[in-house]
Amino acid sequence: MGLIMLQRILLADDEPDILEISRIALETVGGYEVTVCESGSEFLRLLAGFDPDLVIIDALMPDMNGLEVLAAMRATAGFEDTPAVFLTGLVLERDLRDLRASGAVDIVTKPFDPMKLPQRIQDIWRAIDDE
Amino acid sequence: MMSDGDSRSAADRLEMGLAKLRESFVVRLPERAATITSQWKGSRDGGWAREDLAGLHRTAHGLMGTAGSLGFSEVAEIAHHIAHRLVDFLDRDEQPTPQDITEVTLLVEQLSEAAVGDQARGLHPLLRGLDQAGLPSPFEPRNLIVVVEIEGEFARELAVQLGHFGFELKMYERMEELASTAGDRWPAAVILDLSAPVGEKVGTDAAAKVRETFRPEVPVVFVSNRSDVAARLEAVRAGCSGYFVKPVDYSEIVTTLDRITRIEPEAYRILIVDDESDAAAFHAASLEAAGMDTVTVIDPLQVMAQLVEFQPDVILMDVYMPGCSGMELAAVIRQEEAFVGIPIVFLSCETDRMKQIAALGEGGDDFFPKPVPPDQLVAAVTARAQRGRTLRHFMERDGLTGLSTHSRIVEQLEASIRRAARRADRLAVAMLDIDGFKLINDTHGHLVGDQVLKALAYLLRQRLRLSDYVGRFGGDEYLVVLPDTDADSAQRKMDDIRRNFGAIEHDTGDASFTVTLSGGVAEYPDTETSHQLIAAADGALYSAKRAGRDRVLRAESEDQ
Repeated sequence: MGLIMLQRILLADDEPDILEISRIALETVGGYEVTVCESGSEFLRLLAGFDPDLVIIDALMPDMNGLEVLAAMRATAGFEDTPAVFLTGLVLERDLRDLRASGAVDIVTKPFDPMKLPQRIQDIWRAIDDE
Repeated sequence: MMSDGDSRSAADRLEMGLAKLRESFVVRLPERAATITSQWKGSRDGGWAREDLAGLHRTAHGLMGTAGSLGFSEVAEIAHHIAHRLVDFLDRDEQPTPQDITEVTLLVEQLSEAAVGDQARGLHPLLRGLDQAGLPSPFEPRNLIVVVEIEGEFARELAVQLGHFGFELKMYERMEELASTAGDRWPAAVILDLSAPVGEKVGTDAAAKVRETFRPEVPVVFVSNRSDVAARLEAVRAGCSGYFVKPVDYSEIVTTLDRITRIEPEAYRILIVDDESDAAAFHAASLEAAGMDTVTVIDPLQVMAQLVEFQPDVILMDVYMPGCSGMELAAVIRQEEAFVGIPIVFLSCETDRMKQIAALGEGGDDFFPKPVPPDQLVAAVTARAQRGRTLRHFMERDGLTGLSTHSRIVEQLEASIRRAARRADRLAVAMLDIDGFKLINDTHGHLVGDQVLKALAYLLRQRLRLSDYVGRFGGDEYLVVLPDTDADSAQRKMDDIRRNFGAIEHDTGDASFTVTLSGGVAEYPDTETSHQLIAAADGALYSAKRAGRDRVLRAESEDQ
């Protein structure tokens, strides 16, 4: 596919602290352009305007869960194939299976080490490139 | 992409940003704990409505993620437990039982305390963690293995097979990428591929690089496609902890990783017997300053009780005491078979060499004239304790699996029951048995059978807590003692282990196969004595076998 360089990341999580941690980490260390939002509906509203290369979605938010957000994104013209990463503290195999089956490219489990998040995202991006 | 200088300053900026976040998080932490408390009370008042419980789950879950990512591991862990219990309620779609309610109420209280505690300390939990243990990590820090320059099918298989044993693997395709991990969790071990042409100190350089990145003592394991002496010699010179020739036998790697990642043994326990309390206090202080645990007995006649209770590694005893002499006491101790192996070190003002030797004849292992300089005392006691543990290890460990022997695990169960009774705690016992083990031996031979037994032993040791006990109870039966655990959690834990075990590929040389296990779980104080607990767990195991194997069942409690 000869993928472009990862630049823009759209991130949704209802935890303001997680948003802030991730934003700082992805911006300062990763050098990415990051837009964050606190809900699924906000995410969908921002999607077309920001045009992200990759999205990170919290699996458990009050208004819509991650799977619903992902499905809505897939139904949006131009974002059918945008790589999605789930962010989750869920540990039950059953839940993780649902997330994996959704077609997301990877799952980052919380708690995560903020220092290594940018590298993790970089690895995920590279892995898509390899395919 | 980025130069080193850039990425370092970026890391600094990130660290500063995080420090600010931690500061503001810690200030709001008690408030967030209070939200959880009020949500929990609200759920109760609202008759455990599903949406209330779901809301609480989200709050606890969110707190877990944030607290953990910011390094507040205690809060994160408690929030994790709360979230986990709520998933249970939501799953079962039933009202929480009184026991569930007590349990979560306790967790919620613990959370408030931990939150207030963190706020009071008000500082960098990550740094605090570093100071304490040198291992900043939220959960189970000893299972992270870093893998460098291993790719493709082998890497995937390695991750899968080691994953069954609870190891978490982080892969780096190139050595240069390691630099970016500085500040990460430290791995318990590093696996390097040494297939590159040998002779140019490749292995030594690589190992040095790894040690520089993490810490000087991190264990390094090599895999290589070379089996010649030159290659092995280089690995030895590079100070490696293991060397495996491809195609590797995963069970061998697991054996090695299990050995090198095991947490340092607990502190040596020293029993001091001295009628002069000042002298005893002085010796106790010297030994404790060196990191040992001590118990002092002033009345020599109390020694036997402490031997059972405290299980000392070394006894430090005064020769002259009222009531009975140290030598007499040593002779009494040595009459008990269970205590033959405990080293005894005598202390006395006695300077007559002949009398000192006479003391040793009664079963003493060493003799020191008082006063003993503290450093000498520490050195002598440490040496004795080490040797005593090694000897005991051989006496109490099963030769094949390294687990406790039958008699040792029963002793450990009994000691755990006494502790649980004293603290009014629960305790769970699990009996595990490999399904169709005889058939494995008959089909594949005893060597393969032994390999299966070992695999289960490593898996158990890897997945259980340090405070749990595991023993080889009989042929292919394993007894697990889980202090401070109820039967439900024990059943879940054992069921996890059952699933992992079932996924392990056992190698026969030209093919591989999988094996399942069955288990039974019983709980104290529902069942009271060690005999009854073992029988109850065994009964549940039998039911599991009859119900079709490959499952873990609970013993019916007696009042049901």
